[in-house]
Amino acid sequence: MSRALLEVKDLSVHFPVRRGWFEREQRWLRAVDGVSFTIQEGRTLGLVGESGCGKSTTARAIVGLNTPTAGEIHFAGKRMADLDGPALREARRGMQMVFQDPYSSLDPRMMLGDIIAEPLRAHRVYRSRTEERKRVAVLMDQVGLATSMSGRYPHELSGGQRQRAGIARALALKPRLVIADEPVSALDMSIRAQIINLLGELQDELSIAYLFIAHDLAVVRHTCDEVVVMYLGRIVERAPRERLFTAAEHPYTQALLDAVLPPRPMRDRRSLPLLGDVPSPVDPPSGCAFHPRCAHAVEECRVETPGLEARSHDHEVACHLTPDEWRGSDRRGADA
Amino acid sequence: MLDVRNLKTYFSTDEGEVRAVDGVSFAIARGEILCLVGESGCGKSVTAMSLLGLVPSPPGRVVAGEVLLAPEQEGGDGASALDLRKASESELRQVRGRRIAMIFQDPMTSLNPYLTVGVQLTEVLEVHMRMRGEPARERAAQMLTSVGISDAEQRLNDYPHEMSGGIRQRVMIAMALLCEPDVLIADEPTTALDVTIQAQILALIRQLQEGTGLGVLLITHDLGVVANMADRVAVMYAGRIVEQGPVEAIFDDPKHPYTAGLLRSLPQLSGPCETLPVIPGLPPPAGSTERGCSFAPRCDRVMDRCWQQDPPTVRWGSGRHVVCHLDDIATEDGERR
Repeated sequence: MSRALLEVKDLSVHFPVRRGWFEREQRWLRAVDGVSFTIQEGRTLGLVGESGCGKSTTARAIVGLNTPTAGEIHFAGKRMADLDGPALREARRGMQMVFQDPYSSLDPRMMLGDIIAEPLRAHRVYRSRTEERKRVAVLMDQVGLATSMSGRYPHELSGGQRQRAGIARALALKPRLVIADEPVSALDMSIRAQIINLLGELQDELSIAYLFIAHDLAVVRHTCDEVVVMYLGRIVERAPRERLFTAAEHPYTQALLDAVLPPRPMRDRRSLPLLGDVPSPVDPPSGCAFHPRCAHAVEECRVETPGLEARSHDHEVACHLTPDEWRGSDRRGADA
Repeated sequence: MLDVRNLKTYFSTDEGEVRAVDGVSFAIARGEILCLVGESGCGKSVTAMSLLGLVPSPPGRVVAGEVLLAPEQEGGDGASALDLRKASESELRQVRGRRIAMIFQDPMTSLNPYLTVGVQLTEVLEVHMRMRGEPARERAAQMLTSVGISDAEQRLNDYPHEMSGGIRQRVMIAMALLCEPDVLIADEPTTALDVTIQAQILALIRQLQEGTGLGVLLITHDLGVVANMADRVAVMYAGRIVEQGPVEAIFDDPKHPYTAGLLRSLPQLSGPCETLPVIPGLPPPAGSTERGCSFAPRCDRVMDRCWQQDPPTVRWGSGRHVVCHLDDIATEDGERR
């Protein structure tokens, strides 16, 4: 029986923005607006959406890089906001991040071995250098880097090797949760599959839980047990993997799925891509934030914001319509 | 329309000469989309730069090959093809932007942040078409409308930073197509965009290209983009094209082990969801292989001769060719050369 490792409850992160020099009124950018989800021990939750949907801000709030405006984050049974000093340090050890571009997240002047050892030193894990070196060797082996490479600098490594180093550093403190923000999107095609497989093997071996942030749904399908879809700071759909990929219930999820280009030539494929851009989170549309781009929007969508409601025990959707109501009805033609 | 033969571009570095593009040949017919696909460092962007004489020199140098651009009038009786490699700088300037236009991955770096979009669009018309003032502005607005930008008149006064990434890429496409070029070179035009915006931009390129005779060289690393856009595909690895042919043939029956391995390793939206079959190792820097096949260290079907001899080119009538030693490739109706 798995237990909840991370619980995010009604998380909101708002940033103050000022429009002009003389504007007095304080405006807010609602980057994350009432987001809740749970990650079980050893499981993977995918967080997907277009850029600006708030997925990275959510991740940064979880590790404490952004201060939540409202809401709670519980990690391993403890409320993060209650912790300070050594207890907070201890909790933070348990969650580590892997970033998209390993080049900008690795210090170019440090050698690989030191980069991986740095978190161990920061937390004074080992007293002797010998023990530390042993641990670094184990970590390098786990992520598929030859120990002989520990004297190399980041610029001497390929993109895939740098990402392996980033993963090794994240694993150094034996975290229970790894937050991976677009970990494979900057990598080459033939390397992407290698890193996806590596993350899977590490999970089996070390029973780490992942919060996997990605925009590529095909990658998400290969890595995640459950998927949360975000749009403009809110969750629009949450479902187990197979359900999301076979029976999506939010038109936005369906649009994201339709936008994935399958690696198969299909000359007749002319499905209408989603129109328009993501609107500004400073000035979100009324009602359902997705309605201006939704091909199926009705009057109610313009007026009332749909809440996230359970469609089955593990499937939640924030939409006024059921798939039966919106599938096959494209109102774009009728409106024009 | 554009016929590239045995193009070689070398760079001199501290570690010696790097053969970034090492004998690349392809042709783009009128109204055709050719996708040049490969991983970073395989030489696909250098190939594009070489076509237009844009390789920074030094350290780069186009050392061999022909880049033949068909004459402007259809039929082309009288005038012969222009070899861009032999063309003078002023002839090249006439070709760039006017007959061959180029768009890049990040429109922010190719648009001038200090000038409004309108100024930048009309400048192109002035340089190439000697069109000024109100007619130029009208033409620019009309072009913006045709790439799906609403309130085009208004948008001409905007600066690049006031636009989203998707709109900026539309502006770049509008700018590229202003002079009705014969060939569009698009280097990773959607890589920096969200998937939904990517779908919009790709649909736009296809819509603008269909029925106009515009030939497109689309450079990408994304096989999904290739499958949905290409008429023909050229797969590049370490400075060379290892497989080329019609898009259906490449995807339905990949013959080169590299192409086959890549297609197997792709995460997909359907089918089994288990460990992905990977190509082990890393792509080598272009042109680093002295002898034999540059894919040999990663190939699951490698044989002794792959290390020693350059692989032969096997050709089929359909315009398909594969550069590989494997015997079963040649035993079909391909002709070995």
